[in-house]
Amino acid sequence: MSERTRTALMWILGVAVLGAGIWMLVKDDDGLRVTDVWARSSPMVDGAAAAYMNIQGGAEDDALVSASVAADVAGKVELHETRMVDGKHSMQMVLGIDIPAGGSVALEPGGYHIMLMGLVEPLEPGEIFDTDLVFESGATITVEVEVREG
Amino acid sequence: MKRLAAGVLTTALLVAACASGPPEYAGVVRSPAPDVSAATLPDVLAGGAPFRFVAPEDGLLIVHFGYTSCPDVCPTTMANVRSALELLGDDAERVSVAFVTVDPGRDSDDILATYVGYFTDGGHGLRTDDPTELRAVADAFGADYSVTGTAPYIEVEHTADLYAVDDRGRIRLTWPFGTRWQDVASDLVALLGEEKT
Repeated sequence: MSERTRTALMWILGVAVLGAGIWMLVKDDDGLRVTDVWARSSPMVDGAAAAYMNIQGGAEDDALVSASVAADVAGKVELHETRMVDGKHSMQMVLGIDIPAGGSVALEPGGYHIMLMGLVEPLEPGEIFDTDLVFESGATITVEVEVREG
Repeated sequence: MKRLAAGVLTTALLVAACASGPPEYAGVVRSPAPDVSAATLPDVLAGGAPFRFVAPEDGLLIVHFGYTSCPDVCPTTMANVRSALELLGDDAERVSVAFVTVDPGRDSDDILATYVGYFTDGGHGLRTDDPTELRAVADAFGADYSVTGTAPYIEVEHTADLYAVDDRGRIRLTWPFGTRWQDVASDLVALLGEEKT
């Protein structure tokens, strides 16, 4: 194989990989956008923490149906909502968080949050860990969660 | 910078207080002010010594009822308290903080001490195994809670308000969950100004 052929093949391969990457990006997030992703730092080993974010809907109605983190971050992850009933706050697990087309949903303190249970290590401010978000449409988005002082 | 901000805030609030009579608080003033001075609970950060719900002289005591495995409401509230006290600068020394666990079954002395120590400097972690004693204290504050289910499916419900108690053991303000920490700081500055006079 001549040097020229090899260079051409490398270019073709490069463009193909780039194209596939862009296609995956477009296909996977379906126009969904996730921003301002953070979790409050927690001193507790084996404790619980909450992750928050803003999710902007894509072209179609969708719903966040699950989230997961690496086993060295937390043992279990669920979607939760804090509610107030008769003056008392409590958390309920929810099976999905609706994300309307073109709308925006905030996961924020006192409302929806991604609940991390069984923390392997305390969450220290400045740390970043990945969370995989799975949507009803099949779209998956991996976001970086920034741990902030709290 | 924080101290400068605190100074500016203090001055602005004092001017506002002098100019317009009784200050408007972000927190709720209950009338008559509930008296919690008779209540005591063991303080895990003082070797279990009984802690009275009374602020230091001319100071304030901030109280919250929660549990350490609460990932959302409790750390949000405690982080807000910390932010508010940071804004107060030197005046923060006149404010003490107490966290009462409503889930003593899971919150051991050590766990509670770690938790309270994380959010406060010199705070009080209050815990009792006596449900009657805990209920009586919560009742004095007008707080409610329930812990139901068995591990690992334990559900805790609790009043998420924050209380400011004065040096006579009266609840001066009650802040509902969701009150901005800047507003808590403003209220504390105003209350501390009144305590001095």
